[in-house]
Amino acid sequence: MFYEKYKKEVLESYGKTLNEYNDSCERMQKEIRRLYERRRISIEVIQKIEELINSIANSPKEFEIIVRKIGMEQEKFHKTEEYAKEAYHEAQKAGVNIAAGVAGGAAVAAAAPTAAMWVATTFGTASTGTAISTLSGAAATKAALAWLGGGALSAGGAGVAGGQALLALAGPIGWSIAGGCVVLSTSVLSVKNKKIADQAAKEEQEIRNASGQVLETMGKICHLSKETVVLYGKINTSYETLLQYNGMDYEKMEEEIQYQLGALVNQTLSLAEMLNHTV
Amino acid sequence: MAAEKVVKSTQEQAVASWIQYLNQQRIDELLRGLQRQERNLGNALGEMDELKKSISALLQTNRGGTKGMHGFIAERMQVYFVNARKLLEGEERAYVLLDDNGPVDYRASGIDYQQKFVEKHLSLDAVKKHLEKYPDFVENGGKYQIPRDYYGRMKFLMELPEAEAKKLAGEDYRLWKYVKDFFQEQEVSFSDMEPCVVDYRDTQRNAARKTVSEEEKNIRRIDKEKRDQLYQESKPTSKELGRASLTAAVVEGGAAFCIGVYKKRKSGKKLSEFDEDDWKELGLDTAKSGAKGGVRGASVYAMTNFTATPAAVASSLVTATFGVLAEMKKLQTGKIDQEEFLINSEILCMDVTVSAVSTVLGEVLIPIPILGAILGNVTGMFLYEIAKSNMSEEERLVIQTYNWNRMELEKKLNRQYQTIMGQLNEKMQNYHSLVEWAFSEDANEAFAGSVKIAEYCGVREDKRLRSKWDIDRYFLT
Repeated sequence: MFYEKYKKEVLESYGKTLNEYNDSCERMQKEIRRLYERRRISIEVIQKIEELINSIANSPKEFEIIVRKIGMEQEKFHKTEEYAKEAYHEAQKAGVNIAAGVAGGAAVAAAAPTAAMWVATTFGTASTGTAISTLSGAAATKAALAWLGGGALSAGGAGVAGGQALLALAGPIGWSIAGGCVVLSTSVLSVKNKKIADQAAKEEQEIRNASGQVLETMGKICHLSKETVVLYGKINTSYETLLQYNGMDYEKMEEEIQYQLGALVNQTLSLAEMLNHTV
Repeated sequence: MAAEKVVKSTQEQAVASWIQYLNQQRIDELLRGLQRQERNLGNALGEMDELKKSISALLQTNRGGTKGMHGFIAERMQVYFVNARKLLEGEERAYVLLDDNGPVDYRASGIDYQQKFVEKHLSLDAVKKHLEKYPDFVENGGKYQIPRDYYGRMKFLMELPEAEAKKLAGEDYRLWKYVKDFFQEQEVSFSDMEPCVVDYRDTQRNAARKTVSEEEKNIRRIDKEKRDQLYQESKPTSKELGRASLTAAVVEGGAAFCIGVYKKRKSGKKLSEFDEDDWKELGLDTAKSGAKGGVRGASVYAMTNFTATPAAVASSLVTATFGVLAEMKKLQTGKIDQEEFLINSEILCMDVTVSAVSTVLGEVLIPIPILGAILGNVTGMFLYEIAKSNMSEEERLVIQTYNWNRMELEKKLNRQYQTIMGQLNEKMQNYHSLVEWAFSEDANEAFAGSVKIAEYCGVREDKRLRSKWDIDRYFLT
C-alpha cells in the first residue's frame, strides 16, 4: 500500500546501482593511471632510441611525441539518501496532516454545539422579541435551540427540534472531517511515494547507462594499455640489442643491422604514434 | 488475513455499538422518566387549582360562617393535598369528599373519616359529641382526623406518665387528665385517631391562601427532587462501566480464541490433535485479547459518556492506540525504522477510519442497534479490503514493470559490452601476430613486419620506412 514497497525496492536497487557506478569509475581511474605509467616509460625509451639513432644518422632526427589525454568525467547523480529523506518527509507530513485532521474533526464534533449555543444565547432573539441573553434556565435553552432552528414553529422556523438536529449534525460532520483528512493524507502520501520512486527509477536507468559507458571505456583503456606495454617491451629489448652500434658509421654496417635499425625506426614511430591514441 | 481483519474489526465495533446502546437506553429511560414527571406535576397542580376554586366558592357563599368555615376548608385541604401528593407520585387519588353533612366527611381506601377541627380540648370534645350521635361509627370501621399539631400534642400527653404530668402547669395538667379520661371513657382507641396534613391555624379563612401556596411550593420542590433523582440515576455508573469492560473483554477474548482455533484447523490440525503448546498459544492469545477488550470496553464507555465521541469513533481510537503502541515497541527494539513506523501507523489510522465511518453509516442507514453497526462495518471493511488488495495488485504490477525494465536494460548493456569486448579481443589477437612479425628473428621479415605495425598504429605514410632505400636515405641524408 501507499507504493511503499515499490519505493523501497527502487531505492534499494538505486543504491546498489549507484555504488556499482562509483566502483567502476574508481577502477577506471586506476586503469588510466596504469596507462599513463606505461606511456611515461615508453617516452623514456623513445628518447633513448632517438639518441641512438642520432648517433648513427647523418642529420638529427626527432620522434614527435604527443600524448593525448584520456579520461571521463564522473557524472553527478542524486545520492540514495536524498530520495530516502524526501520520502521520509512525505511520510512525516502525512502523519502531521492526519493528526491535525483528527484533532480538527474532534474539535468540531465536541466544541461546535457549545459554540453554536453560545452564539445563540449571546446574539439570538426569542420569537417573542426578547433577547435570549436576558432569559435564563430552560427557557433560554429552548429559545436558543429554536433560534438555531430558524425560529419557533409558530413563526415558520424548524423550532427546537430543528435546532437540536442542527447541533446533532456537528458530531458526524466533525468525524467526517477527521476521516476525510486521514484518507486524503494517505492518498497524497501514496502519490508522493510513487512520484519519488518513479523519479529514482528513471535516474537509475541513467546511472546504469553511464555505468555501461564506463565499462566499455575501461575495456578500451585496458586494450590500449596492453598494446602499449607489449610494444614497449619488445622495443626495449631491440634497443638493448642495438645499443652496441651506438655512434658507428651506418655505411660500414652489415645489411642485416641496417634492416634492424630500419625496423627500430618504424617500431619507435609506432610506439610514439600509440601515445597519441585515445579511446 | 483480510477476512480475519474484517471479523476482528466487526467484533470490536459490535461491542462499541452495544455500549452505545446501553447509554442510549439510559438516556431513553431518563427522557421517559422526565415526561412522566411532567405529567404527574401537571396533575398535582391541577388538583391544587381545583382546591383553590373550591375554597373560593366557600368564601363567596360564606359557608359555615365565621366559626364553621375553617372546618370546610380543612376538609378540602386534607382531601386535595393528599390527592395532589399521590398524583405527584404517579398514583391514584386517595380521598373522596362526600360533603353531605352526614356522619362521614370523606372516604379514603375504604375507610370513613370524620374530621374535627375544634380548638376546645384538641378537638376531642367534638369527637365525643359525634360519638354520642353516632355510637357505632368507630365500630363500623370509621376513624377521626384532627389537626396535625393537636394530634402531636395529644400523643405527647398520652405517653406522659402521671408523675411527669403532675409537674405541668395547671391548665396543661387538666388537658392531660382530659385526654386520659377521654380514651378510658369513650368507645374509641388511640389508633382510631389520625392527624391531618395541616395544622389548626392553617385552615383559618385568612391563612388558607398562604397554606395552599405553600403546598404548591412543596409540590414543586418534591418534583424537582424527583427530577434530580432521575438524572442522577441516568448518569453513567462504575457498575455499568465494569459491565461494559467485562463484556468487551469476554467477547474480544472469545473472538480471539475462535479465530485462533480456526487458523489452526485451517492449517490442517484437528481439534483432537492439539497439543499442550497449541492450547498454551491459544490461551495466551485469548488472555491478551481479553485484556485489550477490557480496556476497549472501559475506554469506549468513558469516551461516549464524557466526551462527544460516537462509539464507533471511540472504538477506532482505541484500536489505533493499541496498534501504534505495538509499532512503537517495534521501533524501540529496532525491528522497524522510523519511516516504517510512520507508514505503519498511517495505515492503521486509515484502517480504523474506514471502520469507524462505515460503522456510523451502517448505524444511520439501518436503525437497529448493534446490527446496523455490524452490517455497516462488515460491508465497509470488506469493500476496503478489496480496494486495498486492488491497490496492492496495482503496486505489484508497477514493481513488476520496474524490474522487467531494469533487467531488459541490463541485458542490452551486457550485449553491447560483450560485442565490444569481442571486437577488442579480435583486434588484440591481430595485434599480437603483427608484433610477432615485427620482432621476428629474421631482420628482413622484422622490417617488413615493422612497416605493417606502423601502418596499424597509424604512422603517417610519408614517415614510415618502407624499403632498404628508405632506410638508407633516412640515415644518410
